[in-house]
Formats: sequence, C-alpha cells, structure tokens
Amino acid sequence: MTKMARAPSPSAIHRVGDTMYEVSTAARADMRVPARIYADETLWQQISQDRSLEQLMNVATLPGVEEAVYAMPDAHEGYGFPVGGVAAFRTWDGVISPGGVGYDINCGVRLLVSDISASDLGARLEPLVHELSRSIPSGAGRRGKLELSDAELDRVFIEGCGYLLERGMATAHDLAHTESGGCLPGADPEAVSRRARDRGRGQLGTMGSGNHFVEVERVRDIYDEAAADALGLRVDQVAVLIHTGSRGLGHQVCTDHVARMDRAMSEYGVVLPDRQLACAPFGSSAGKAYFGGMCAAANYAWCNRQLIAHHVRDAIHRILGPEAGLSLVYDVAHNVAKVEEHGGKELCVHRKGATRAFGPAHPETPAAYHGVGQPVFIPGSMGTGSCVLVGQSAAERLSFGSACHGAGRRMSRGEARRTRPGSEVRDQLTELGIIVRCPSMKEIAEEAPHAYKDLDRVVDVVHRAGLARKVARLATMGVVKG
Amino acid sequence: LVDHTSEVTIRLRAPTFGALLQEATVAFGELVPRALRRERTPEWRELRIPGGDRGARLVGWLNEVVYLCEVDEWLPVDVRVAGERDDGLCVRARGVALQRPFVLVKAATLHNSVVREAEGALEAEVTLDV
Repeated sequence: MTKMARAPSPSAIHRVGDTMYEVSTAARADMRVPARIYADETLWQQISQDRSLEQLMNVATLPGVEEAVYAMPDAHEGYGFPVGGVAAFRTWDGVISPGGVGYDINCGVRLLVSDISASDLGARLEPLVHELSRSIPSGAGRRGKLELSDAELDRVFIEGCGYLLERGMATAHDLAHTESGGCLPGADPEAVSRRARDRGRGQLGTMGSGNHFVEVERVRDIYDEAAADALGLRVDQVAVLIHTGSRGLGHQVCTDHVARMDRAMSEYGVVLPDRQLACAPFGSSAGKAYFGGMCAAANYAWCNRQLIAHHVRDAIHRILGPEAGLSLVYDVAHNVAKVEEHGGKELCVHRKGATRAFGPAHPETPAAYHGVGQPVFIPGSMGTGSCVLVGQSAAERLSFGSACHGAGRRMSRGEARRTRPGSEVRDQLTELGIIVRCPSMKEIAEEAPHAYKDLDRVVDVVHRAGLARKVARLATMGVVKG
Repeated sequence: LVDHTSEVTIRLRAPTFGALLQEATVAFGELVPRALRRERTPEWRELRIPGGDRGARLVGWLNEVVYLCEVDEWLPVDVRVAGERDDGLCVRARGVALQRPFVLVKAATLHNSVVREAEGALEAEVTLDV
C-alpha cells in the first residue's frame, strides 16, 4: 500500500541553534517522530531544493521509529530514505528496511597512512598513481584477481576480514582497526541468492564505478595535535583513501529483499509513503532474512576494501620499495544497519550515507582510540581532498552516534556534464598538480567538484554540532576512478 | 532519461504494458555504450519476471536486464510478453552480446516507480541506481 507524500509547511519547521533545523510531527499526521536536519543556512537551502526532507519525513512514519530521524549536512535525495539519513527502530516492535541501508551495502571508506612524506615521494607520484590504476580492477569489468567458489564466498560472508587474515591478505592490525573487526556476526549465507553470488563471485577486490575511488593524499593541516598523533597522522604524510562497497552482490541482496518485502507489505499492515521504503518487522522471517543477507554483504564489502588495500600495498612496494609501509588508520562503513544500544534500548540503527561516530569512551571504539574517539573519514568530491574527524560522546544522544559521510551531491549527473565537460575538469585538476586516472571523460564530468556541496562547510557543521571533532585535512595528489 | 540528483530516472509512455517493457528496454539500452556491443544473438530467451502488479513487474524486468548485462554480458533488445500469472510474467527476449560486463546500472528501484493510465496509454517512471 502506498500513498502520496508532501513537503513540510513552513510553520512546522523550526531552527534549533545554528546547526540544526527540526520538522515537527505537526507537519504531517502520519509522522511518529520529528525530523532533525543538521545544516547551516546555506546547506539547509541546498537540502530543501530536492526531496530529501519529504523522504526524511516519510521515514518518520515507519513503525517502531525511535526518538527522531536525522539528516546529516551532506543529505540529498535518494530512493526511499535520503542519502545522509539516520533512523533507529526498536528491535521488539520496529522494522528493518533495506531502503534505509541502500543498495551498496557497507559502502565505506578506509584510510591508510604511509611512512613517507609527500616531499619525499616527489616524482614517483605519477608512476605510483599509474601503478594503482593498473593494479586495482575498477568499473569496466566485473572480475577481480580472485574468483571465489560458493564455499569460499560462504567464508567471506561468515568470517569477513578474518578469512583474508587466514589467506595472508590482511594483518591482525588491519582487523583491529576496522569497524566491527571487519565482520558482523549475524550473517546468513542462505539469505544471499544465487544471483547475488553470481554478481559477487568475481568482484572481490574491485573498486566499481560512480563515486568510488582510490586517492593518494597528503596530510595538509592538523587541527588537533593529540588526536592526530593517536591516529598516526603528521603534516605532509602520504596517505591512501579507499572508497567502495559490496559491488553487485550488495545491490542484488537489496534488490531481492526489497522485492520480497514489497510483496509482503499487506501482511504487516504498514502504509508506506514510498514503495522503496518496503520494510518488515525486525523479528519477522523477512526481517531476519534481510538482516542476515545484509550482514553477509557487509562482510563481503569489508573484504573488498581489505583486498584492495592489499593490492595498494603491493603497488606501493613495487614503486617505493619493499620497505615502504602502509598502516591502516581505520575502515568505517556508511551504508549499514546495526543493532546497538542507545539510552538503554536495543535499536536497529540504519545509517544510509552516514558514518558511525562513537565517542572516546564507547566500548565499540577500537582500543587504540579509546580516549580519542572513533575515526570518521569524510571524503570530498574528486580532487578536493578529505577530512579526518573523531566521534564525540555527544553524538550518541544527538544522532545515535552518527556523522556525515561525504560532501553530498548538489547537481544531477546530467547537469554536471552539461555545466563543464570532463576534459575541462581533468585539465583543471592537472593544473592543480592532481594526477587523474579515469577511463571515462563522462565520469570525470559527473564527479567534478562543482557537482558536490562544499566539503569544509559540511564538516564544519558536523564539528560545531558536536557530532565529530575535526582532526586533520587531507589534500588530493592523485585519483584513480573506475 | 530524466535528471535526478544522484541517479537516473527513465520516463516511459506506450499503448500497452508489453510495449512499455519494450520502451524500458530501449531506454536502458541508451545507457549502454555502442562500443560495448558485439553481434546480435538470434535466439529468443525465455525469462520469468516476478511481481504482482505492473510497477513491480516493470522494475523486476529492469532488474533482470541489469543482471543479464552484468553476469551474462548480454543486453536484451527486443522483448515480448509470453504469459502472465498472478505472481509474475513470462517474457521472451533477444538481444546483443556485450564485449564485457556492463556494470554502470546496479539496480532498478521501486522509488517513486509508477505505472499509470493516461489518455489511452500507459505512462511510467523508474529510477535506476547508477
């Protein structure tokens, strides 16, 4: 069952401080909780231009939704849930929705730091970027360097990065510095269809197209010396940022379970404002099946980023020598649903285009970062670098422990292409000394900086709102895209 | 093809549901680069598309096309409805082999998907995840 939704009336919108707007439940009779949007005035105007608010209000109508639904300052229109959306549902009377996670299950970001400085890298940058583009299968084909049997896929689903540790493609340090140790415990291989397996079998260790990338960056500025020191960051240090997810496998898991829930919606008596919000009670057979499939896909995604990191290390050894080290700072998901405790309640927290941002004392913050906060990485658009932050304890009551995940699109792909051709964007980046390896001018145009919101403005709101604290700013030196 | 902040929306109009599937196939094909296409394959494939209503079936068909392009490296070009059941459709399709997997489009979504009757024809919109 579906019905039409509408945008909020101005009288239902309240500005709360200088970094939050709230749409009250008075906006629509079907909203169970308010919608809170972290934004300054400029970002609020941008977020208001598409259907993000309407989508967020739709999420607020779902059964078992707790306290409030949130949009991060990089929010933009998605399908069902907005990208940059956070919503928590009680596990005993709430729902789980594949649309609240998104198609690219456990899309996320991994930051590694080297032991050399950008000035020492010098003229070896171009060969390094070239070697990375040769070494990492991207978006043009589906096959990586591993072709997994069903039994091997099952181990990836169940063991996550532990499977790659056993195969010598990960270290114990890597696992200790990956969210959830690179393995969610609830994976159910039976909930991953034959089609999903077909799509994922040969894609492990591949980047994919769209906004996915591997970037070589340098630490440009340090804002918080103590936190940077804990994370192993120093000015001018070379770093590598990897952004990708669960490839076709995750998309197929989402497609399969959205279709299953869509067919079963009438059984649950839930009225949906948007069919893509198809959901099921967390404890139902459909809810359990999706959660099991999603955990399996999330573990596949962590293995994907781990295997790419393994390829990156090999490439760095070839160009910079076998002694060159590349240490994992952290790997964090930004499309996932996790069972967490907030305010003494067990909740299924959906983060779609939003990063977990637990504070210094949270038990799930990795041991190495206790007293500092869980690292949060916010990549900007192609060539604009990224920001490193650490989660704040306040985020746990302000946003279910969440922060933003990127700059967020502000233009459609078509508008970006029409505004500036890919060759012009590439030339502009080259003038800035940034080396770009991308097989498609169209993709360069679509991912151009002007198509995205201002990264520093987005991060500033997150910092001022108390969700995560700024630690360092990274500048792009080279980009490899699918 | 219609602009969407981050994805691609296709807008369709056709006299029958079978023709709507054909239009959707053509629209999807416009996203596949010409250079990726190899020879046309003459045989018709029989495929089952799940979905209890026209919206779910249209999205289901496009998800079938996504899968065929990525895994079988094969792009449907012509599609015919061969049978209808309560829980889905049987369709026959023929198309062209691809030089490598086409992975740009990752899914067809139910988001704002709509199939409606308008002035004696069917109109539809589907958003693709790219």
